[in-house]
Amino acid sequence: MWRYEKRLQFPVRIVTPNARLAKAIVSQLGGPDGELSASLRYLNQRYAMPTRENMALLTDIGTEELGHMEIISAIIRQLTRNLTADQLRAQGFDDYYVDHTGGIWPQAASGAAFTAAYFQSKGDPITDLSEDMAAEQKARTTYDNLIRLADDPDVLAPLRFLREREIVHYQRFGEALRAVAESMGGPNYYAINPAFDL
Amino acid sequence: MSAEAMAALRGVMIEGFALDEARLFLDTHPGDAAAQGFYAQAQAAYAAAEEAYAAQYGPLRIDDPAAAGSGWVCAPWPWETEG
Repeated sequence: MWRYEKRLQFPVRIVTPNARLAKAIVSQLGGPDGELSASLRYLNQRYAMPTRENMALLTDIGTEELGHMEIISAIIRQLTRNLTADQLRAQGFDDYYVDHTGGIWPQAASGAAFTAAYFQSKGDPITDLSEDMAAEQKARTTYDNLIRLADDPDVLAPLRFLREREIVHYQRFGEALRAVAESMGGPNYYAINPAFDL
Repeated sequence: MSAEAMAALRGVMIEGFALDEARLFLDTHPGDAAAQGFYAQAQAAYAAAEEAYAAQYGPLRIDDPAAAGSGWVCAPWPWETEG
């Protein structure tokens, strides 16, 4: 089970609303490489992991990603507060506003709805951990792109923190993948699926 | 939220982050004695910062004694700019 902690992992206090930037950042909530897909990817993959270490790692990173989803949502909420319909239109937010007003909804920057098709749970730890490493790099690139679009230090600080977390998670998943490969005891660790054939 | 409360909450975040980061390292290095020692220190520092904050400014967890009052509902939520 999970219990809530009534705080963010990293502080978010944005003074100046900017709906145009919010519409880009929402991709890290509900986009193809966003925090929701990250959390669901790891929390669903963990059941097929063959080692105690990897069950723990996927549980704990999947949990941290839920906290990152909350940081992104807080950023979007604060960037879009107290704006008039005219201001929202001038900042290119009118299409999101029509569908969701000021609510938080997981979509990509392009407007595409969140879908479970953004991630895989293949039931093979070599395959799944390889996806996880790629997912962390894709999320890191997305943060790089957002950091180029943003010039508000209140927004840049949490984006930079989240970008660094992708790099740490990539490192941990690399260790996890290596441990699974070494546990297979031979050079051809593709010969079997340790989650299914053993 | 007062400047003192914000500073105290930031202290909880700092200790909590040390705990999060050490946890992930220990997940892939569960036998690392130095990391185990760091983790135990981080647990104690986090618990102390969290309890001190909750006692003075409102609960962060439903098992904080302060959560029996109205603070869970009434104190700022994390997405509120005053939170």
